[in-house]
Amino acid sequence: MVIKVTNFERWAFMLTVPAGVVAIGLYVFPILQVLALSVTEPSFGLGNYVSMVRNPAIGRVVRTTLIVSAVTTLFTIVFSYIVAFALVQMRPKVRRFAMFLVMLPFWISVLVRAFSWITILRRNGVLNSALVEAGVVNEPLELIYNQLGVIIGMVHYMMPFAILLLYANLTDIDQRIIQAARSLGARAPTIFWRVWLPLSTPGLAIATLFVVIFSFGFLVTPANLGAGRVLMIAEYISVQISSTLRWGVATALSTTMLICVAAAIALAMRHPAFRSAFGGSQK
Amino acid sequence: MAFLDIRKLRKTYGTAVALDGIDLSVKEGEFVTLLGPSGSGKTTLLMSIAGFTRPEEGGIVVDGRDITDMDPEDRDFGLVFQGYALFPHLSVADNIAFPLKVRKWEKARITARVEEMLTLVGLEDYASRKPRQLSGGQQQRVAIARALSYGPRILLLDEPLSALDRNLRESMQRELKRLHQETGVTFIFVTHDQEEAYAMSDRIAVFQSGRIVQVGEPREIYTHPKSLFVAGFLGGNNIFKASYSLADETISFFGSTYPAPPHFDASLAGKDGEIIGWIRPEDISISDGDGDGIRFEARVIDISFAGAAEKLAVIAPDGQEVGLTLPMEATRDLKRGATVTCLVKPQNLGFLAPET
Repeated sequence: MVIKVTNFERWAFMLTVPAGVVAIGLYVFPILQVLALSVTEPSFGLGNYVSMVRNPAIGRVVRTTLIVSAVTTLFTIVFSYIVAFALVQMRPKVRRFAMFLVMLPFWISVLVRAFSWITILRRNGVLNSALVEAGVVNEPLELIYNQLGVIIGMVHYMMPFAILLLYANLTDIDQRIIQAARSLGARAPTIFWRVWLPLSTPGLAIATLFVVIFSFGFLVTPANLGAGRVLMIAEYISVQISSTLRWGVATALSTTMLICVAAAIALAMRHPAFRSAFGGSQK
Repeated sequence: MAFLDIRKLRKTYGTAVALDGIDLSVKEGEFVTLLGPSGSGKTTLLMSIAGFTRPEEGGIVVDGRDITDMDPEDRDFGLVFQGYALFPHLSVADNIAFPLKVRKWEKARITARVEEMLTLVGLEDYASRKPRQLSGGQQQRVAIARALSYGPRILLLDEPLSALDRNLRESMQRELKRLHQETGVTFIFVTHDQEEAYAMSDRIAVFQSGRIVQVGEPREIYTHPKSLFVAGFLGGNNIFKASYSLADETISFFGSTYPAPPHFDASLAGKDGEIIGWIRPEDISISDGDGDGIRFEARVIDISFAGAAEKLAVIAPDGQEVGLTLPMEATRDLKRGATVTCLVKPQNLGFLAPET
């Protein structure tokens, strides 16, 4: 079959070439190098992978990562859905202001946000002082330098992304379908469970995938709010590379994570909700 | 007393008046069409009856009960949307069962009713399909079955056929008429298509800028339009300027003067005798010399084939254009530029007051 390519299409394709070259040169190639390092450093073979599986410390790190990511995802999705749902119901003027509030964190560095949370959550921080002074608690709560603190910081970081993804999906839902449900006699709770929620599965799917993957590789927030006590994979890798210089183990761990994430995406894409979330047809 | 009584309904959007004092009474089991151009308020009225639009003034009474402030979910009316608005994640059967589940019907009763509705709209074999696997006409049938399943007393339809192609639209019109007769439900149907309105309605309410300008049976609306707007909106009508002379009781148009026909109402004429006349294109014939009535010479400017008939456009001596619908054999020897003698029976002439 001969496919006719118009001049416009040819030029459009040419314009994408520089970006493609940069991506391959600066991203794909180095990643392949990292993959190679995991089987060559310090000696050729699968030694790094064997020691990775046998190392109980790495097991703990992986377990922590899975728990923190799962809890983060759960709370992020629930809270973000509430916000996105409220955004859809708002009057345009109010919505513009609410949208601004949602986007606000994007302009603040993730590091600054982490330190802000420390100021708020530490033992003699803003929140604990207020609680102790008000007599709600006798002792300051342990809100930070543990999994709770890491999860608070991560949920805060992920929410704007999840809100925007869910909002985009929710605004796609034809308001007439909601009106139809009302005209058929359904009240708000029924409409939410039977119509809104099922129709938001593509958005929920893509937002969940996004948050899970992002959480898996998250470094700055867990490192700062966990202060070494909540060690997640990304921080562990970072320590291996910059402090203990065990590149072999670090790259083996990176490779494993990359493959796991890729497999998770491939698996997810088999589900129709994900395919439609990525713009594919649901047919 | 009427079954559905709409009184002095008023609704504005900012400075735009969507409903400007609507009065309408509908009998139980009637098929009433709200007909008008887009933006004339017909959909706003339908949505007010459905409860999605809150009028600022006036009231809606159904069966003696004021429902003006009732929520749409409490009204128990069926509503069919322009884009069908089916639940895309539910099968055909589940779409139809939705209002029944909401009403907490027993399972066996739901199954039986869904079956019954599927038979009613001829979709027995499509129960487990999803809406996107159906054609437009089938989706429309599901939407109607869903809206009728719980036995509403009023079915509101918002341009339900506008997305369908011509053939399908005609068969759906027949289907709607049949459903109306079989169920005995009161139908309120919104459309901008006059033929659709003629084909199905018991009565038509013609809308213009937020008001109902004429209500009546299709034939009555067609033959006795009360205003220039109605005469013009009900397509194809020839509307022309004429002038009436009180002194000798004559009317002049198309370059000639004729005695005023007996049904002519002189009070319609403006102060200088100006008046608007109308003739249906099918009420004009071409004469080969004989025949009584109003005759005028005109030049043929266009002939176009329109299936069962031929459409002729002619220009009268005073420059006004007139359209004719003629049987095919009548136009066989005609050519563009030819001069023909047109013949109209005086009783087929209509007159309206000039718009002020």
